[in-house]
Amino acid sequence: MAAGEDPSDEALIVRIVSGDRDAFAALYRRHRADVYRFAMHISGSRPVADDVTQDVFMAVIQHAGRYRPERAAVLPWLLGIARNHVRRALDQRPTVTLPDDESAAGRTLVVEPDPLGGLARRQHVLALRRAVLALPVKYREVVVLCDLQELTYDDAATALGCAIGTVRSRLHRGRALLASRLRGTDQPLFRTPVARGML
Amino acid sequence: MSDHGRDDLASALRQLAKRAEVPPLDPDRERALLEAFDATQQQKRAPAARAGVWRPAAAAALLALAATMAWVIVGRSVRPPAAPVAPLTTSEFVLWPGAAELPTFESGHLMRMEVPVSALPSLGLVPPATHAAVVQADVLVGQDGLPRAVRLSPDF
Repeated sequence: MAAGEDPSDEALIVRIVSGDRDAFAALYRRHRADVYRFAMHISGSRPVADDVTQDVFMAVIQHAGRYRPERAAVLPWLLGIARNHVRRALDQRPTVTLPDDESAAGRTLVVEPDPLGGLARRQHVLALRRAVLALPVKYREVVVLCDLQELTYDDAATALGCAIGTVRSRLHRGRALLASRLRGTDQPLFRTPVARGML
Repeated sequence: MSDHGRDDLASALRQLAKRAEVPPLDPDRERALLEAFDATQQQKRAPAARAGVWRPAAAAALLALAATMAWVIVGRSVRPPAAPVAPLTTSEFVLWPGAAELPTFESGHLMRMEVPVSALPSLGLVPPATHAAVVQADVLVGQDGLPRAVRLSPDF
């Protein structure tokens, strides 16, 4: 490894297994946001996303030795763990907290040159977020992994523990459901040219 | 879905991804994870250490038995020197007695509590130089509610 070059995820895992505390801290800082975003998009709940992120890295502490680089890259492996924890959390908490941009946590002080346009954009994002959260979990997972987190089909299949073909078919179905739900909310996302680039 | 609609949806989803806010790194959460990492490493080393010492310990026990027999037979009184006690660093976690036999630590939390100074040696902690009857200790409690490790609080 060249001087100053960040170690690969796989190298960090090897060091974590051998008890290297700094390697664990580095992996946590590198992928904490990825895991949090995934959990947030699937659960729609900040507390769940917080807990899942913590649980995932606790699992790394305990089971880093189980990681097999020939089977998966580290990020899909982490997201696969996250997926199990999110599902468990959703089973325990059937009602999810929908993120609300008007909530205190989501409110930010910004200077908007076009307040009405900004409001419209926020409403569209909120509608889209609600539509994603309303998808059945198996479709939501692939949409989040492939469209929001931009994983390859291969990596998404690894994270979900299914075949690539399954990822493709679920993604196709998930997108179609999403489009139809958005049409049903009267959001002009697919109706007028104005919608293009509006978000 | 048309190509136009698919492009719009993809674009909208990308915007949604960009708007997903991640809270800044929480030092407390990171510290809790690192402490759990340390405790787990200590727990992993404990069984290995036990496996590594049982044979020498058995040999030592046999030697002690032989020496006792020799003392009884010969009638000599030989008092072995007291074994030196290695000082512990009070700010580091030590394994809770019996925790090595508990289920693997998966998650947990830290509890700060007051512990009688007189109880510290039984926990493997060296009592600090204080006249106080109790000191504050941090106990790492596992997912099952059972303690896994303990340390003297840095500001005991």
